Amino acid sequence: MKKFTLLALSAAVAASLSFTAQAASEKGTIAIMVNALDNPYYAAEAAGADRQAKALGYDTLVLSHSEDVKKQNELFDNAIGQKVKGIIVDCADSTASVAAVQKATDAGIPVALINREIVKDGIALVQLTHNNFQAGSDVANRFVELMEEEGPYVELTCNLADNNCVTRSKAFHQVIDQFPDMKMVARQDAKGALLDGKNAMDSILQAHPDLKGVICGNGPVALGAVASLKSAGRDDVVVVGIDGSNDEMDSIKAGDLKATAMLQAQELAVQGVNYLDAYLKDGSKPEKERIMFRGIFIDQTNADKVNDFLYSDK
Amino acid sequence: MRLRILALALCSGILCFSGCRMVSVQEYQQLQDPESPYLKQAPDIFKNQLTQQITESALPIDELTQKLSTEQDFAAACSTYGYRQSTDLQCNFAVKVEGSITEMNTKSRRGTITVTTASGTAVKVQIGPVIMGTALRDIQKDISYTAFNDQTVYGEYGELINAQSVAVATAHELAVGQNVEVYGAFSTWDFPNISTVRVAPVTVTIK
Repeated sequence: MKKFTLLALSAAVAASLSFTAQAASEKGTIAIMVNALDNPYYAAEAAGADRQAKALGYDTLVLSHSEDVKKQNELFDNAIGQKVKGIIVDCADSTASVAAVQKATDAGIPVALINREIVKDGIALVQLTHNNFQAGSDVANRFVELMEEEGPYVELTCNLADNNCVTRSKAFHQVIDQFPDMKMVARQDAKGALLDGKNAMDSILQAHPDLKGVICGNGPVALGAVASLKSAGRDDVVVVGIDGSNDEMDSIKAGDLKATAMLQAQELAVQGVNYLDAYLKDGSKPEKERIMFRGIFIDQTNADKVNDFLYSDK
Repeated sequence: MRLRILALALCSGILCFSGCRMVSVQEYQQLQDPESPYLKQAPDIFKNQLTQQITESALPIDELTQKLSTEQDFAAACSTYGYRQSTDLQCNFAVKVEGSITEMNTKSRRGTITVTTASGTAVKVQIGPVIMGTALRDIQKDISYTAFNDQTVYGEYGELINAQSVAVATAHELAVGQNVEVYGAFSTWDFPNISTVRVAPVTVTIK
């Protein structure tokens, strides 16, 4: 089912890429740039922006920079050359991307940033980001509760080169460190990947068989930890994460992953397009440049309300 | 040797006259990541602004729940009786809880007292030493995330505000049977279920 969803997203993205062969719409094109289209989170971002831009009458150009600043720069040059009407981007880097955003803005092309912010104000039309600190705090609070405020635990960070991951880790510790009977016995960067998460957990489990809980910086790492613990027959260890992919939802429903915070990837992208559209219509700008979106806390009570990083209460 | 001294003097001269200034490692770090002034001001903000804002705007908990029960739309109810910086954040309500302490939970570090009002409503008030949530930070109208633009620093500010709340709660020897009046705030995403509400106090008075 999830593979099918990913295929469908990829198909939507591929369809978007073929826009150049089609007649341009009157409203012009919005370029959508994300990290990697084979990652469920970024695919959801791209799909959300793509769907909304088309609904508003734009053509779209969906591109992946693979977190490569040089490649992103080329994509910006290409988009500027094609005279796109606006750019929505989950940028490759918070600092190095400033120049690319400035270049587009100087060319009269508004840029809406989603997920990853840049360090300078006043260049982008809007910077929409997840409240990673709140998401991390919510998950850590449940973790403390499930651990009954005591015992040995492990932190598997997602990727400490990514500021969002650093923020989540800080949020974890701001909560957990207030409980002196909770002892962190190991901390390892699992690079945000499932396999790294599993490998890290495999080795940590050997060194710390008395482990009671694992708090993870993102979903893939949490699923890697779950896989490791399952293969070791350890269903007594509490695992929590952050992200909110469909695979995490399945794990929560199965009772393996105890909680996560769903990042509103699609909603962020949709709102980014809306801000671009409003600006293109009459020059109106959002009240604030930086806007945060909450992470929605997910456990067994509401996991069935999530699909492709979209939460529906209906 | 003389040559070395001469070179050193020359370098010093260049530094002096070029407008450069030597800075310590600490100063350099502060220049790169300036600390928000609100972190230092948190105790004063709690005492002089937040406490006043909450005590002046709080509704008695029974009155608030009664008013909310007549509302259909939470967003509208929040804008009438509560406050939030945007619809993507929890709504924060300022409340007054007056009644007797009927239960105390000090086993958990997330300690609470249960205050039962004259009409029988039981409300949990946080006494720490760990205060959950950011209701007291987020209910402030004058200080929002925009003043920080850094999630971690904003989080730290919330912790400092909560620390003041703990100080308020632990200033008294609280015990079951005491009559108390508490002013504080709680956050919620939706119409509140009173049994899950946790009020963070700004004042606690034993009657």
